[in-house]
Amino acid sequence: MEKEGYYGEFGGAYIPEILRPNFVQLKEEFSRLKEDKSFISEYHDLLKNFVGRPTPLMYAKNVSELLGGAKIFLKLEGLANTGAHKINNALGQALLAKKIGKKKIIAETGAGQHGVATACACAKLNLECEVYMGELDVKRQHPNVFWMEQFGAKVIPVKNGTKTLKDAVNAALREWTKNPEETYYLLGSAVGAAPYPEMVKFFQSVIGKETKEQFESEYGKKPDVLIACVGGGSNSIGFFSHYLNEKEVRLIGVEAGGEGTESGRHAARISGNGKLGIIQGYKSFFLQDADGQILPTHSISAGLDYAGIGPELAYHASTGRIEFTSATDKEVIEAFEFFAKKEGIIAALESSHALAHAIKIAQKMNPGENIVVNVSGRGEKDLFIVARAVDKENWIEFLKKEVIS
Amino acid sequence: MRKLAEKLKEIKNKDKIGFMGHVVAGYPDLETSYEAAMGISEGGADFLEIQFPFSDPFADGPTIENASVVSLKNGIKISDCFDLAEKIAKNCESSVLIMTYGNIAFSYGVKNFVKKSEEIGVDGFIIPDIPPENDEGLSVLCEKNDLSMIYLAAPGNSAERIEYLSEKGNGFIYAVARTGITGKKTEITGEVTEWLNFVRKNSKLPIAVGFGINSSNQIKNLKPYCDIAIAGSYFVREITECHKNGDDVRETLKTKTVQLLNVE
Repeated sequence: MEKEGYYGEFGGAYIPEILRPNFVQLKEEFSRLKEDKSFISEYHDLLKNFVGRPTPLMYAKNVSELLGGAKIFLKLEGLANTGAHKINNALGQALLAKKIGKKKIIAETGAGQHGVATACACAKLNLECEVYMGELDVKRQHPNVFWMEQFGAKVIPVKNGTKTLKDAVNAALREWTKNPEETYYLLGSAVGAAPYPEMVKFFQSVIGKETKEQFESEYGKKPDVLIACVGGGSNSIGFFSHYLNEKEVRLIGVEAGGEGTESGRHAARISGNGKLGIIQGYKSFFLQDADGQILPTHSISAGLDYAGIGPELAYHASTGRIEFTSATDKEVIEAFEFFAKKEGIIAALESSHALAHAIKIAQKMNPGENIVVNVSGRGEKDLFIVARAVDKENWIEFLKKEVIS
Repeated sequence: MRKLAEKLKEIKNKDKIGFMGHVVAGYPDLETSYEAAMGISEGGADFLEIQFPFSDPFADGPTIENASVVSLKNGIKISDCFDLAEKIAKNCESSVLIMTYGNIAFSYGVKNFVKKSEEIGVDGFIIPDIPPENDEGLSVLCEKNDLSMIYLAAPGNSAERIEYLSEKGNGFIYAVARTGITGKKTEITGEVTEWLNFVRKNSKLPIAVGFGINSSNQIKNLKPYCDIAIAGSYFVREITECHKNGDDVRETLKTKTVQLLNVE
């Protein structure tokens, strides 16, 4: 029998004893509420009327015809409130926290997307919100800090350690142990100790459920391939969730290839050189050195710039159920521009990894076949990165003028 | 008999409170961490925790977290940490324990990690993110090699949980005295003594108390409730200060430890 909280040998809960009571409570409450009809119906009501679900499934006709291969469909998660799939999970967990009587939500954020979604959910549900963010990230990601504050959240710069995401995680965990009765720790990706990976998948599986209903009611069959980008893995595990048992559907996860997997500057755990490890509470593949120290990662998209991968995805990688590959920063920018110009879709740089791979394989498939890509977020948030990459001079000129005015 | 068992026996026979000190291997550099460990030992520590730095020390407070970052930035490898632990174990009277995180042992290979530790004279492990139910085989390996796996107990643990931890562990149980993480000042309040009495009632092992200890007065007040007092972040701060001022680390840490242990 499989041990609770494990997916094959992956997952588990490797947590200090001081956090154990919090996890025991969380596990009990989640098991109870996921079966609770009134909780689920309140969550679905918020998804419909606040998030704007279901999000559309769009046939990318122009791109498909230009490439001359398989038909490409896009699940447009970017049209959800706050512009990405992150809100599905943030709202679900915030509602759970509220139901179990917590007053304050704490969260960590790297680039700020999860922080923005959490702050938004807390504003809607009238919960106090504190977001821990590495001091370096606070400086780099000012627009997201601004939006979190507009939602009424308190952003706390973390000055310890390397002053980035992992230090923000540590600081948030510390805060949680100090005040476990009143606070709820809202984790944003399908990672961490059990039950977080299961819980995040539960709230993100709405993407897969809608995709299946929309595609099969419209076309009367199953798609041939699903493609999603993979950071920690919340959008991909949610998107793949309803097809994991349907073996004829190929599932492909695209990791951040950065400057190429040979360059050492990437975040490809499965398709690159990740190694089995036990880090941040769970067992999975991590980019680490020979001693087991976490390595720095690189990606043009902040959301994929993470050294670990969710344990359920690692498991499906080990069985071969989900295939993994990567796309480089350069391919990502090209895919971004291609879909913007030909389909009117500004995809997030994270999601553009999945689009880059769709371009690669569609051409080798025939027009009778179908690919569905999860466009997990929209790309307006990436203005500063994309503009610098594709239109540097004008962009810098503009920024200078803004400063002077 | 390993030093750890000898020390426990001595603490019991003399009816004294035992003491465990702490250094982060390679902080601020290897030589200084060696001198500091020797000083703490010479000052009267029964046990020494040598922390092998890890990139994601999520059970530690900012003081030890920052020291770990510095050590890793200096390029410290786990092989250096083992060399350091070996040198300390060989040259000092204290029982030496390795404190680290699960991935360091896992990456080394738990079997090799235990074997290597046994060979160099280390007596056991404190690995806060490895609970007994997911221990990667460490408890069994420790038993086979006559090493101690020390588990932590924390406020919020049930009576059954404490009993379970003390059954799975070996040597002593490490009771966290405060809800929170290492390095903040702990007052010996009724809440703390109540918690320690609860641990005492349910643990089959002697009790060590850690987190936030920085004065001899605290240790004195703790004596009726536990067997061993632990200071961690306190030493990191003292080592930092000493290194910054260019003081003799070994002498200073020895004096500091003697002062801390002056509980009569």
